[in-house]
Amino acid sequence: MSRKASISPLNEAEEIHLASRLIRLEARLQVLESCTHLSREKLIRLYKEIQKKSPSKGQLPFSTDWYICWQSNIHSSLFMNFYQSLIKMCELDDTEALLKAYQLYQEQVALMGEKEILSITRAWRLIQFFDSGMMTTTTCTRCEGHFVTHTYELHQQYECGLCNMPSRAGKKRGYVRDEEPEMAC
Amino acid sequence: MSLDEQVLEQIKEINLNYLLLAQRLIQDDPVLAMVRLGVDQDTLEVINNLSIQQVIKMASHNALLCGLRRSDLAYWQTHSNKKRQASSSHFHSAILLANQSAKWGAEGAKA
Repeated sequence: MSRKASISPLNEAEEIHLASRLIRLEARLQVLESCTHLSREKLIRLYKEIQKKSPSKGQLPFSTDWYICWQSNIHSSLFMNFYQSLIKMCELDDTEALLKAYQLYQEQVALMGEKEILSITRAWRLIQFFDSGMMTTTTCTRCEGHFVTHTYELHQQYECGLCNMPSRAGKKRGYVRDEEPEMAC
Repeated sequence: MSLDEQVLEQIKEINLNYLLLAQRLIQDDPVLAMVRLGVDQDTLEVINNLSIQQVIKMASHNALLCGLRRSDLAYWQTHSNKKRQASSSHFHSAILLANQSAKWGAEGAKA
């Protein structure tokens, strides 16, 4: 993806629109650079304009383990199911697929009265892990749901974290497992 | 109105609302509509192009046009399990349904 190649005014408008959507979701700079053809300088200017602050510097976290922790796993799996459904059902540009899947994730999480655990940057990183073969979905032998796992782990009788809840599940700071959701169903 | 007539009216109303909602979803965002409805692109295009007269006719059936996207017992038992903490069940069924759209769409295309 050559950033030096000039893009037409129409394409640039589309790219700016795409970048704006990502920036509003607080995507990190590396995500913006990967998903658009705009120059780094343009992206930083756009970011400042929309977010009224400079984008965070520094490396993105690069750990597959985060997606395996109980709470992150159920959020990541929800996102990934939406993402895989979308790309199966129609031909979509990568960034468009990311944005639409993330929208579906946000909608559903809000409907359940839960907090978003997966940021757009984490979602983008997860897709990169899938594309590189480091992570995949495994089918739970009990509920047949698809859950995010490491590719090379042996999963002969895989059970998801919801069918087989670990005793310490959801006892992280900030997540109160035993509290009834505030919104009535 | 007899009870039967009331029930038939309700079915017709759901059918009508379903088709009208489907058309609205398609016009709003054709890609998301496929996931929300679990229907393939070609079928959605046909639905979208129905005139209001056609929609009314199609709604006038004694059975529902739309079915349960998960008709398997296991899915419903997962969500109705009273022992499970409410938010976990909700999350669980959300994950199961999020994938179903792919299976549903594929089956619809084969039919």
